[in-house]
Amino acid sequence: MTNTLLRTRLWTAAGFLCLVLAWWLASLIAHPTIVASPVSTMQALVTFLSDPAFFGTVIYPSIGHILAGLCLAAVLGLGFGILAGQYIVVRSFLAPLRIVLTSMPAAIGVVLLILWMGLGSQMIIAVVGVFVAPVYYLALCEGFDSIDRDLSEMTRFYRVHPALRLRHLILPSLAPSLLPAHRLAIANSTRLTILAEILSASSGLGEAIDRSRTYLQTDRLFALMIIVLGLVLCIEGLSGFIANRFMRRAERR
Amino acid sequence: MTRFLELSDVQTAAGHAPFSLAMDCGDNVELRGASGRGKTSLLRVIAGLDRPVGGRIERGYTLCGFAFQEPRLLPHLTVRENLMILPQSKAPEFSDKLHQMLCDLGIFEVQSRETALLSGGERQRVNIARAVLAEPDCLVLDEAASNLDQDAFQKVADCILGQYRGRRMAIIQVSHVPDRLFGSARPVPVA
Repeated sequence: MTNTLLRTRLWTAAGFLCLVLAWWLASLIAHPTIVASPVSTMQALVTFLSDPAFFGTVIYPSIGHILAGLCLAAVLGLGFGILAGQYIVVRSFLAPLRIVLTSMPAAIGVVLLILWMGLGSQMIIAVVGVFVAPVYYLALCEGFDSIDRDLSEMTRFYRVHPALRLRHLILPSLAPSLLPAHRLAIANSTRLTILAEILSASSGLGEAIDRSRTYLQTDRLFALMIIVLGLVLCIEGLSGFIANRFMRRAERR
Repeated sequence: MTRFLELSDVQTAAGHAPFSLAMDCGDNVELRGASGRGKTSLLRVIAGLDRPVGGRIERGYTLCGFAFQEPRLLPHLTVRENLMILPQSKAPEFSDKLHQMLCDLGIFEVQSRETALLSGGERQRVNIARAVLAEPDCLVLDEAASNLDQDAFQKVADCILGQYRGRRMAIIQVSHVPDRLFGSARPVPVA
């Protein structure tokens, strides 16, 4: 490990410890129903994770919503992004919709979709799909804009096979904007899933959070927040790993 | 009958005076004119990269090779990989031709090096190798001798003229340095 990397990690660890310290101090000052202490939060966390039913009724439905919503967002965002990246007409046509989706508060979107689709998993997946799709869409548009025009012209001039164009010119240009966008999409998918679950009070982590809030079980609320963070990190790590491998393989071919 | 290449009062988007040119198969032509006269714009129209905004152009050839002013190589690919992207690389004899070309141009030793790591002269030679390996009927050279030292220029000239004589292709070239032309080219002024 290089000195710089070690120093960076030490500073990150120091930042994390400061955060925990601030939390602990706040829990000493505030009432336990306002700020749960780290110890009681850990106890609640252990209680949750040692209960197999918790996974079946809370964690797995939420993971299902996040992943299904993310897939829908990727299909919509990448599909329209490919078209908009290549045809300025499509990009102009979709601009108003893109502005509506990126500027509308997600809570309003959830309420509208509850109104149109009712409660249930389909609504949650639709919320995530529709509101996260612009993340992929914008990244793809940006990626297409960054393709070297001269190299693109050269490959067209020499009639380079489309698969080779994709591997050697297009994918390397898209990757720098697409990979960070994918991470952002995962975080947004989780936030939106929880929000939709809370507002619809139907299932998953959101419903559990809503219940803990209603009964002022702050330690459980904090434990659920930690679970959400862990979930985001796991999905981000896994899908980032898969995306990186895919990009590297595509470039190598 | 369609000539090999005929330009009648062609005007480019660069907005210069109408230009006319007639070429036969095996001609070697130099577009001559001061900087900013639109020589590169004319080469782009001849190669089919741009459309003329006025006039008429008739091409009697199908394949054109273009040695661009700036090499336009995929930087993360090696020299060999940059040349293997050509559709002509599917032909069984391509491998031998590629080997010969790399030797002739003096870039055989760097064939496994990423083009981002090459010198300007080496990159320019890969650019020329790609244009020639495309087996064009018409080879367009836009300042192709730039960045080449005398030794490299001589190697490139021998290679291009060998192909020119052997395959009866036409050459259209632009150079700002009179002694950096490939073969005895017929000068055509660009006003």
